[in-house]
Amino acid sequence: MVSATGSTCGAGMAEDVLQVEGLSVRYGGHGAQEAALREVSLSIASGEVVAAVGESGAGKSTLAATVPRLLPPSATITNGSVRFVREELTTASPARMRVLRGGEIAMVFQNPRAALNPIRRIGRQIADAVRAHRSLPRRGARAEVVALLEAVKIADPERVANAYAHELSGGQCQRALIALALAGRPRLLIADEPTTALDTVTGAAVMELLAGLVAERDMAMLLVTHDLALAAKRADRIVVMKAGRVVETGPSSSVLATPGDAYTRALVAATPRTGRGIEAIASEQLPPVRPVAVEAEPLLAVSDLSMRFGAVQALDRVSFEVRRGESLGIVGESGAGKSTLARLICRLDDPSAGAIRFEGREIGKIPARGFHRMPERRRIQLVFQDPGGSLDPRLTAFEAIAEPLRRMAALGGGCLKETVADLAERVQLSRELLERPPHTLSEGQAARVGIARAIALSPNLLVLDEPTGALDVSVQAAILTLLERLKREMGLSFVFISHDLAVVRMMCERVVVLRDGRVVEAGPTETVFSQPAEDYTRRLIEALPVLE
Amino acid sequence: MSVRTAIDRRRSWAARFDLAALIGGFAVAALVVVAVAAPWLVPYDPYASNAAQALQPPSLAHWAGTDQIGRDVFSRLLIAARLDLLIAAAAVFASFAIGTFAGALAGYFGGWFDRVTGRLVDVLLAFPLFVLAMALAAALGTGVASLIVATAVVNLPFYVRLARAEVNARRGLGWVEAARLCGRGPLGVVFGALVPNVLPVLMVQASTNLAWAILNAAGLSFVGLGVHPPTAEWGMMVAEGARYLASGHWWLVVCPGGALAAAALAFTLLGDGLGDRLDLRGRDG
Repeated sequence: MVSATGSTCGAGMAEDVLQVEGLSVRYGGHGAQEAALREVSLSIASGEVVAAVGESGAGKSTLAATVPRLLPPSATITNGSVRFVREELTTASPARMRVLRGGEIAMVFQNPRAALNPIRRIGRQIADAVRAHRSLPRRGARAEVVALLEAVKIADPERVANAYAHELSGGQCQRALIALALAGRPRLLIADEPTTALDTVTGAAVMELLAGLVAERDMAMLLVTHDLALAAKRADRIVVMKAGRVVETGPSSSVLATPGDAYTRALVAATPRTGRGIEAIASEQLPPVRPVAVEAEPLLAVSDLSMRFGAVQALDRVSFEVRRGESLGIVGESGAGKSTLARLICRLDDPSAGAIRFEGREIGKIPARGFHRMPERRRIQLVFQDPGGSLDPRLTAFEAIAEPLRRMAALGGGCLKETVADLAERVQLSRELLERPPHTLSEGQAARVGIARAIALSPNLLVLDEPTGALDVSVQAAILTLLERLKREMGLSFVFISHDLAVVRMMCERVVVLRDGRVVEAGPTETVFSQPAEDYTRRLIEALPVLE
Repeated sequence: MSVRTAIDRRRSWAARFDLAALIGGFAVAALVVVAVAAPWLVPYDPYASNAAQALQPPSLAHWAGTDQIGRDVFSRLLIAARLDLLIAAAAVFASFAIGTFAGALAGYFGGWFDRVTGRLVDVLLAFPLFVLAMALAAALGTGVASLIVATAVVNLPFYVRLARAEVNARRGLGWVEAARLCGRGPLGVVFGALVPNVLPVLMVQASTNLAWAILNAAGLSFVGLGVHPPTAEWGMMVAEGARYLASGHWWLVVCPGGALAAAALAFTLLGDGLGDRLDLRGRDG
């Protein structure tokens, strides 16, 4: 079905560094085998970046692990070949693979901190890699370490070489890991979600660095990512994967601009884009927009809200308002105080200072421990970042949705059943799923249960803490559509917290930009995004790859 | 090929482990049945002495022989199962209940309560366990009640620590905060949401702990700090029989000792099996 794709680059180009042909991989022992890769073919020439994109379960990471033969023991290569330069890797001896791995084939992982040894200095670890692949005296290795750290644009290589992983920021760790990967002078770099664990701005810088290194050292790079926009921006060619198969492949510009396959089309359609509203990705017809009420009193007014944890000022005099029926976006990098703010508004924690006025009443002074007895408890609800983790492992979906109704509306019996069934319908959760425990639900289904629970008592304010941060794009599109529909139907107000500016731009009327616990900029979303007043906001916007 | 054999090996291991747990489970069930039905199962009156039949070795008439005053050892073993299981179960239940309660509160709230319980637990653990149990039993006087209290107190630290650690590890998780948003107060979160979720872990601990409690109670009786003499109790039977060991009357020690070992092994196997099942199901995040 998919032919060798290296030829599309044209004859006469550099030879293929990696050539994967009809590769199939299965997980599991006898009987219950599961195909993780089916007949996957792709090729990468030197100096070229090929992105493998797809949603969870597509087999991207299995592909990334198969090439250097880092598959878990439960996996077997059942078919096909992986050729590196002209060498067959599927049958290469373990000894040969040890030489290649970390040498001519190097890897960059998703979680850089976890990939570094916590009790060995960074410089030592890189020196180990250098000496493992080249015979250098100790002093020469040291010079090489510094040279490598300079190559990955670490400002103070001597200091970083003497540091431990926990003393470095996430971005520095990722750079150190890239330096480690470069130690063996690789011809092929496999980067598995290299920026997913990093902040937007840091991630953009790391991608810039990787792209530069690939060009400069004439390496080939296999970039594994769930992010279509990132792939579009950084890759020469894209391989779209679904359930272990390659569904489409070609130059990134044409694949994403004019997708040939239905699945690619659906992926592109579900990805938030500049200048398009929620309707563009909506999976269903949305009810008309309700006008934002023009009242003297805002629904929520936060003024001079501060929060200290010991010596850390997590929030510093934050003020904003949310009107009825309005969505306010809160954006910023990790550590900006977004989640702290969510917890304060939901009254899970007590602020150090400042006021929270909700429906005209000051609720910031009510202790969080006693807030469950307040009438406001049912009117302010929260949707969590990790949908699966927000469900009690012991409770079925039905019980999870019934909890607030039982406890705060004293519902029971048939009336409770009916209400839960209505809510399930409202969030498009099929009834059979109601009897299931959370670990048997998909992330999308768990997200729907969490939303049903949050809207069970018809709150006025819904705080959404990265509600789609853990979801695939197609599921994200469905959940965002659902949230938007609920907002319009029920006249909800949102405080929408996200690091994903494209999503916030689509969902929110106004936006607040947080940095280190302070508001750096606030205003109508379109104004802030098209004419950011602050440098920081501009950097955030520019760092985020967006499909054009 | 090597991958396949590795998988096979792991499977057979798992199978063997399940088998062990199954045996443990059946043995525990049998033990409970024997203990409950002992008065109807005993072939002789366990307290009736018969000087003419004293110190008989095991035979078809007396499966475990007779003791120094001619009582049937097998009957005494059966009837003693009641007392030993009762003491162990009551002690474990007491430390389980109190320990979980205190540990869960300490784990969720932290603060002064956590510090006070933590130090008390440290104090208890500073003593060698059996010495502490002996001191307590001696202070409380002999009898079943003091055996139970002594065993329970010595056990308490493990439940407090386990419950505290398990609750503390989960206190910030999404579903715990969700329980607060559903209108539960702090106590409701601890006992309505957290404790039910950590209960399986504590149950495994309790199951393995029963083995230890049986041995501890028997040990206290052995050193003379347990039940009063005519009462049939495994530890005391071993103590009484030990005087006759040198003269070759081995069954007076081996039979009650074997009963103790078998009971302890059964609870341990069951506990291990339960622990494995729990791991297989996967800990919630």
